[in-house]
Parts: sequence; C-alpha cells; structure tokens
Amino acid sequence: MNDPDRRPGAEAPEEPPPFLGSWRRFYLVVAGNLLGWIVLFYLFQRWFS
Amino acid sequence: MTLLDWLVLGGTLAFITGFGIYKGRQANSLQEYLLAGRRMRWYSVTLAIMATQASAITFLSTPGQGYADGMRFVQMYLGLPLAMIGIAAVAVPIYHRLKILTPYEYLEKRFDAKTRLLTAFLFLLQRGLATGLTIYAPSLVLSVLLGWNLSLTILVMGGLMITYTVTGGARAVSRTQPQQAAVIFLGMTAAFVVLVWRLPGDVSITGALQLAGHLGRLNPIDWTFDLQNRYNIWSGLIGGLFLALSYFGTDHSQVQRYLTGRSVAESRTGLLMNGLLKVPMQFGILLLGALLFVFYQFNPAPLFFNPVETAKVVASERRAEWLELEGQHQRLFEVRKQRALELARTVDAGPADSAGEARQALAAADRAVDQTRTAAARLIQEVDPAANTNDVNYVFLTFVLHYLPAGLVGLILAVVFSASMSSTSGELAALSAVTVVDGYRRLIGGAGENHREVTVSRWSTLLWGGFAMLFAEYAGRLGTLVEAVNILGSLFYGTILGIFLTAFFLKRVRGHAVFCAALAAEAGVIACFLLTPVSFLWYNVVGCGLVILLALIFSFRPGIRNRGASASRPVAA
Repeated sequence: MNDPDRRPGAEAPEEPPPFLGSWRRFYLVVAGNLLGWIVLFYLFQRWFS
Repeated sequence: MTLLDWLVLGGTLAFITGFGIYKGRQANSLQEYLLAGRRMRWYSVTLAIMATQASAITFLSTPGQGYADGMRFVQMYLGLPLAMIGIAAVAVPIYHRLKILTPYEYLEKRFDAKTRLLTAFLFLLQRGLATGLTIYAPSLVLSVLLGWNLSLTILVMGGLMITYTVTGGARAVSRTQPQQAAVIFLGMTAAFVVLVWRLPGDVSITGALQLAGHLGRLNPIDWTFDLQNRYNIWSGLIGGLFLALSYFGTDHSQVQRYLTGRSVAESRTGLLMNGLLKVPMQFGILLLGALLFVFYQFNPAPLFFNPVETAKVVASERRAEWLELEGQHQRLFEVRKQRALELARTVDAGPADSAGEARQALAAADRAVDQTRTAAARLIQEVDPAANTNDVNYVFLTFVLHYLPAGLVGLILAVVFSASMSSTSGELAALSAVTVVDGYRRLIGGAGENHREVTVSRWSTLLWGGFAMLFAEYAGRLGTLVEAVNILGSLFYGTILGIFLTAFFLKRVRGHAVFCAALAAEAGVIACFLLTPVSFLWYNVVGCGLVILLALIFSFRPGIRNRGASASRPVAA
C-alpha cells in the first residue's frame, strides 16, 4: 500500500544521476548556472549600452 | 515561395508525419498510448519537454518581441531552473512511486474525488483553449504573409498532427519530437547566420550589438521592482518560478513528457537539463530579434509589418495619407541608416565614450521613425477600429520571406510547422490522457479494459483536436500571441499549483478545505485580472498563495475539517 503523504527519498536508495555523481551536486549546478546567466546578462547589458 | 521551398517544407512534414505514424502504430495498451511504455531516456525526455513548451509562437513571436521591446522578456524564464529543481526533488519521485497516469490521480489519493475532478477540469479548460491558440497563432501569421486561406492553414496544421497523435499517442509524440527539434535548431541557426551575414560589410557583430544596445534592445535585466511592469528580474524570479512550478509540475502536457522516463533518475535528469538549456535558448531567440532590429536599420522595412491591415488602409479613402506616411518613413529610414552607419563606424574605431554625438543623432532618427509607425498604427485603427495594430508577430517571417535564400524559406516554414506540431501533439496527448483517466475511467468505465480505453483515448484525441481547431478559427485578436498564451495560463496555474503544494507539504489539510480554497482563490485571481493593473506573472503567486492560506484557514474550522476528513479516501496504489 502506497502512502502519497510519504516524502520522497523515504524508500530504497535513490538511483544516482547519469553524471555529476549526486542529485545535490546536480541541483547546485542548475542553480549556479542560473546565477551565472543573470550575471552574464547584466554584464552583457552594461557592456553594450 | 519557390519550388525548392515547397519541396523542403512538404518533404519535412511528410517525413515527420509518416515517422510518427510508423513509430506509434504499436501503441495498443493504455500505458503505451499515454506514457510511451515509460521507456524514454533522459535526453528524449529533455527534448520532449522543450519541444512541447516551445510552440510555433515561440519562434514567430519571440524574435518580434526582441525587435520591438528588446530582450527583457528573457526574465520571464529566470524562475524556470529553480522550478526544475523543486519538481525534480519533490514531485517526480511521488509521481513515479504511485505509478499514476496523470498528476490529478494523485490528488484523489491525497484528498478526494472532487478535488481531483476540479483540478482536471481547470487543466482541460485552460489547456484546451491554449491548444487552440498554439494552432491559431502560426496559422494566422502564415496566412497573412503568404496569402494562404486561414481556415485551410488551421485545417492542414491541425490535421497533420492529429493524424499521428491519434494513431500513436504519446509514443508517436515522443518519437517525432527529436526530429522536430532538429529541424527547429537547424532553421533558427540558419536564420541567425544569414541575418549576421547580410549586415553591411563595415558593421561588425560587435558594432551591431553596440547599435542594439544604444537603441535600448539589449536590456535582459531590469532590477526595478514594479508590480505593473511585466518583465523585471523580480517578476521573473518569483512570478516566473510559480508559473514554471505549475506548468511543469502540474500541467499534464508537461508531466506526461517526464512520466515517459524509464526511472526517477531519467525523468529528473530530463527536467534538470531543461533547467540548464531553456534560459540560454530564449536568450538566443531574443538576441535574434534584437539583431533583426539592427538589420532593419540598414535594410528597408515595411511601414507596418501586417500586409492585411496595410491593404485595408490602401483600399480606403485614406489611401493618400498612407502613401504620404510611407514616403516619410522611407526618407526617415535613409536618415537613420546614415546615422546608424556613422555610429557603427565610430564604435568600431574607438572607445564607446567617443560616440556620444553619433549615439544621440541615431536615437533622434530612431524616434522619428517610431513616430511615423505610431501615426501609421493610428491611421489603421481609424480606418478599422477593430484592426490589430500590433505587428510584432509578423516581423521575423517578413524578414524570412524577403531576405532568406530559396530553400531556407521552406526550412523556416518547416520550423513553424514542426514547432506547432510538437507542442500541439504533446498537448493533445495530454488532454486525451486526462479525459480518459480522470474523466472516462473515473466516472464511467473501470480500469483494466485496455483495448476499449485506447479506443476512447484515440477518439478523445480526435475530439480535442477538433475543439482546438474550432477555437483557433474564432481566436480573434489577442495582442502579442506569446503573451496571450502566458496570460491565459496564469489565470489558472496559480490555483492548480496551490492545490498541489498543499498536497505535498500541508499534511493537516484535507479535501473539502482545499476544494473550497481553490474555488475562492480562482475567483480572486479572476478579480485580480479584471479589476487591478497587476501584471499577469503575479497571478500565479496570488492564486497559489490564496489556496494555501485559505486551505489552512478552512482546516482550522472544525466542521469543514471533519467533513474533509471523512471525504478523504484511503490510499491504495
């Protein structure tokens, strides 16, 4: 019987991502990538204005 | 269009449609038809997610948006990567573990049947109308610029993807999307290369970017916090986050794409790769629009990009005024061209600081051209008060038709058709899945009659396709089409997201409380739309916040909590 209220990760160990080793690292890369784009956009805007 | 263009367009469409029918012919079980047998690898999931989101509107309207308004539209996507992380971490494992066919099934397990049905209904309403728009938008632009009959274009565009989606369901959709994505990538890259190549010889790419910057088109970041300003970093990060959470986490046209993943890891990776790629992709398309603006500093552009509206004025008694405006526009274009060349040369020759005078001269010339275009739009409206004076959707395709070589025009039209087919077929497959799983199976039939359910799915795909085409026929004037789709989504997404976030995180809240909260929140969002000047991205925050807040308040009322608790079904999956 499944319990939808049960939080993710409460069952068998997670399958790792195909690269970067762990999900935590993958999430950090995605968030860091966003931050990088914001900084780049800002610099791009300043440089060409 | 030349014969070569027709061959490229016809060949591409015939191949994709034929491939979809061939690959989808073995979809005989409901799992196979609705979720492609849950066998997709992460790269197929990524492509499917991106292809479903990027409709033809994306490729027609977004460059026009960059042309007219600069690159600030990209901020709308800044919340998306964060949403991908949240959905990958929380929603994907739950959906996979419960082996659900639609996310609304989860709501019945968590709350009750009426909450599931309400949410499924909101999805069907919103997505059914939006699917009509995704067919209508490119059909309108193609019919106006190529002189094709609008109804016939809608019929051909809708008919092609209905053919293979009815035949093969999600399997056919997933198998054709990589080909469609390849056509889109190839076509847009070719357009970009030709655009840069056709800039004047003495204008470098850096000079072109400097020009775009000076003319206010390179503005991807706006730090100002303003609730009435549609695109700034705050509306993008906060409103865009809520919009993306709702679209990717609860809209079955997207959930279905990653439920086809063979495991939690494949689905998660597919989503996260979308989080890495979407922002630069939108940036690239908007940059194309900004460079298009630079291109039209040196090459003549029509006074107004929509030839149908232009023809109405030319055929009216105000023809002389229009011709006068066209002459004025031509003269001002020549002046602006000289100013642009002077600035480009000054910028290329030395530091940007030395270009102050040239910059001011160009800005003045550009304002004069803008005033002529505004006068033209006013004249169009005076001749026909119902006319659409927004021509941004026609900018990119006008460039394609006038400046791209034979063969590439056919390829770009193939891009428009491919993008429309990939997003619409994904949406149709999702509409069909929700109709069958949350409607037919829940209310009429029972689970297990696979063959019958697949047949019902095929019929419902056909019916939704017909509905979308019918709506497309009557879609009317909606301003910038890409915005119209997002505004429509934002009216419902916040409420749906609020229901799901309550389900994931607020264990105390039961069915009746969240159901009443959702109804009240939807009324609040509609009131917000009708009565306030608040920009549409914030509706997602308002709807979601209201559901959560009201659900918590209602849960603390003993009467409602008790009823909700008794209505809540035991979980068995």
